[in-house]
Amino acid sequence: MDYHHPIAPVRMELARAFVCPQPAYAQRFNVVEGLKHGTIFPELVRVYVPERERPGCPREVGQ
Amino acid sequence: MWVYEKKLEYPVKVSGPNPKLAKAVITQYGGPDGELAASLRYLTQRYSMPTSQAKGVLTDIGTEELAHMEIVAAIVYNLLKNAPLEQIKAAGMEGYYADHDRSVFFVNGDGVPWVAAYIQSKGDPITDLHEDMAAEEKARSTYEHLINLSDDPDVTDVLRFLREREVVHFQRFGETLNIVQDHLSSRKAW
Amino acid sequence: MPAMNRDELMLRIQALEFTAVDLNLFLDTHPCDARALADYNQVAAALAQTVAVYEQMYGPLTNFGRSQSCGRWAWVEQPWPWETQA
Repeated sequence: MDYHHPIAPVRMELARAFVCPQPAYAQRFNVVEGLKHGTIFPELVRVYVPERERPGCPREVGQ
Repeated sequence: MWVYEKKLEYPVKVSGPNPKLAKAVITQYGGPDGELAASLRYLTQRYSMPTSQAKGVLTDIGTEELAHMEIVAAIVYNLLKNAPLEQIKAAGMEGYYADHDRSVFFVNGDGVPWVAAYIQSKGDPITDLHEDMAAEEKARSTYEHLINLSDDPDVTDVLRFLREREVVHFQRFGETLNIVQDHLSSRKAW
Repeated sequence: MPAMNRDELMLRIQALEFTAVDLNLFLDTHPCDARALADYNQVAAALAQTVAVYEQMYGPLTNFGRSQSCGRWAWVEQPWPWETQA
């Protein structure tokens, strides 16, 4: 998932991890939608596709 | 100090007794990457963090993990509640039942009891925050495995909520790492 | 606020409080974000209002001195949060 961060790091060091900070607060889900999603921030939603729903997923013996 | 709120962070219901699913889900209660480990890890690391902001993040996420521990307990409790002994035996849970009946205890899916070696507080804030980011990813993976195993859509719904929380927590720990690293290098630059 | 039954009120409280929690964590790493702070305060006010309605009808959600318990010690009444099935 591409995410073009508006603030690039000024200086990157070797042997140091960096996580893109979430930019300034802009919008959120309404409270009911937020609870359902597990976050109020649309940009932090990471949908999970379970194994059985992926195309070409390994089938169990007999299926 | 902690004050208890008499509600769950997210509503829990189950479709019916399911000891087989309970046996798997219980790892997020008493297993290596579960919510007890998460809460205790963050709540004990917070004391030696160098910035007030980091102490805040660890206190707040640690507290939220206690709420998640309660949610996992509620799932396991309701999956075992009224489960007939035949189902418990078919699920391979006789050992658990012998020691705990249908109560909720701190073990993983194979009955291995929780141990403090699952967590660490190294005292080095960079080290501790990396452990925290790794912990969130391990928890996320475990919830994904449980989602794959779950045959109860009500339980799957709660597992998805808990999984997404791990993604958000990872983001916050990552941001805290940036802030602490900047703070520490600015202190050195004199 | 439209009239809600116990379950609807509880769900509303869960939704409002969860929003406050997620905003709280955001503010922990973005403490100078004024818009987030304003939204947090608005949500906190709505939460307090909804909790007050719930507690008036169904008893306290917090103890250790955080809310009043009128007429009886309702804190130890059923149900407890993990008791969700019949």
